[in-house]
Amino acid sequence: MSDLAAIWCASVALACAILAVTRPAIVHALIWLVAALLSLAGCFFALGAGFAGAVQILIYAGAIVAVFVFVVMTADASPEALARERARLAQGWRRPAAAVGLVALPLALGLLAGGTSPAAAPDSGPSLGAILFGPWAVAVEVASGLLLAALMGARHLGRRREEP
Amino acid sequence: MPSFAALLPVILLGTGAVTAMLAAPRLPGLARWIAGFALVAACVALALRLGAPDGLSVLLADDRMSRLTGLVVCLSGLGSLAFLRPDGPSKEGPALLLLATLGGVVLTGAVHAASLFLGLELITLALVALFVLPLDRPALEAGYKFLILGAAAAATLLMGLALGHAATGSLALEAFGGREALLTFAAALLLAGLAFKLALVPFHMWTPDAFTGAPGAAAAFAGAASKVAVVTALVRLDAVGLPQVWALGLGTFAGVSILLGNLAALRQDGVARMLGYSSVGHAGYIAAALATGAASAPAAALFYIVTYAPALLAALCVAALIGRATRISDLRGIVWRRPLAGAAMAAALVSLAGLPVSAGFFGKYVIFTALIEGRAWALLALAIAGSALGAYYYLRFVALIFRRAPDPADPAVRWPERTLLGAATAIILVLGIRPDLLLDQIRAALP
Repeated sequence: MSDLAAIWCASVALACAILAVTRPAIVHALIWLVAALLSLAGCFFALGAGFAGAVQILIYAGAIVAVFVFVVMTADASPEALARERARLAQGWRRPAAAVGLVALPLALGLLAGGTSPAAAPDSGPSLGAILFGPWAVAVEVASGLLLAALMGARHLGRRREEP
Repeated sequence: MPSFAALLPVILLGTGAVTAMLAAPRLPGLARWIAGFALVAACVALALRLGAPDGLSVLLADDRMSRLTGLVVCLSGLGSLAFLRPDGPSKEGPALLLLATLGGVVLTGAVHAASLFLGLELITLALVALFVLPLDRPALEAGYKFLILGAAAAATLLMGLALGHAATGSLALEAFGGREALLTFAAALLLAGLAFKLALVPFHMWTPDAFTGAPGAAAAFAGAASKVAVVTALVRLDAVGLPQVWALGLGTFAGVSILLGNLAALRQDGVARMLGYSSVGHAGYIAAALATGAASAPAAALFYIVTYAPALLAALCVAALIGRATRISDLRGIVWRRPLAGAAMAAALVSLAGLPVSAGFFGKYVIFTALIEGRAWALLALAIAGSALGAYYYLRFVALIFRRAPDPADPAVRWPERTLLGAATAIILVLGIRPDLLLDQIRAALP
């Protein structure tokens, strides 16, 4: 039963992802992206990975989409821009699609070959927290440095240009 | 969990970055001092523990190799800081440089997928911010190219790590050795992700723009410190015993990089652009040695990149002193006007060309020895052809340096830059006479 639910959610996610990259209007694309991310979260829940599902909703459908909304506010949404995007989508999809196929190929091969299933990952919040504050504390600190660098770069780029 | 002493360099660089960032808006001068102090302290912490016993840890190796290469990364970071110009609207340059150095130090100790990815990304993001510091068109172009290509490389690397995890059930890099189909794809994607940072040929597009558009210090970090860290990661991955495609891909990228990098550099008149294209060729020599799988290859690759770093730092420092769009004619007679800058530039170019009595000569020598030992005749032929081309275009620049010319414009050389130029020249000459000083250290560091 849960397998069927997972397959259903995954199919919805795939369909939404395809719609997200083929819509010329950026707002429509964003809504399909949210749908894809949420159905992926449903997939995680159906497979019993509740924590991963919650993280998926919080971080991807929440935080990252919020960033996209900021991008949408700065994007050009006039009819001319829409027509331009349509023309671009009509011919420019082949190479990205080929790249996706190239990356998806090993996945399909791995499924057919039935690679060794990964060791059971700690999925619960407490065990993950214990790892993050124990042996992985250095990685957490370095990741905070990563955010700091990104923040400084973004603040610098967002600075108002001084008029010459 | 590694001991406190093992983590001390990382802690020093991290706290230094935060302090320098906080001090930057009000006291930019103090921020530079803090950054310099943090880098020197990290160097001392690494140098003092060079011979300490190895420690065990999940994420970061605490062995002699990570300390030695971490030391080189910190010294190269210090060299880049010496000519990081404080002009421009933002004063966070020193803090960003410290963060990039932190990423490099993490990468030299990376034995786990998480630390490998975090180290690489920290270098990339901090470098993007450093590239765009001047906020003008060439700098923005360099930054965006590096950002977009870097994101693609990061995605490729992550996919490779995920496939490796799917095949082995582990995220430790040493588990990735094997011959399975999934691991083959994982190794190919990992190589593509790392080749971007090393600027090997299909992934080199960011290099010439970064060297011309970005501030000289940022380009020097991308070419010296970051590449030392990436070569260390490559040496570690090479020792794991990845599938055949790894060596095959490295060899192919190496051959194309040596040929195209040197041919493109041949036609450049801009000093920075020539250095950018030739850095592609230099990365190719390193990849060629590693592709052979010879016993002496890891030591050769590490020796080469460590001797390359001071030469590149000195050359880019002089180019930055004269101006960002330095052409070949601007170098005319510089040795008579600014003896230190001219002599350092000449020593750096002679070392990059691989001529005797410079560190670069022994760098080329150990690479060729590794290629002969690995019986990689095609790569050896390409490397010799590339070196000949390199000698030609580097010597074109060297000849101009010594030509007399009446020139009024004198670039001012401040004391950090003087120190960098003097130290780099000294290192190039000392290693050109006694390469064993460094080679013994590297051989002792390799398992």
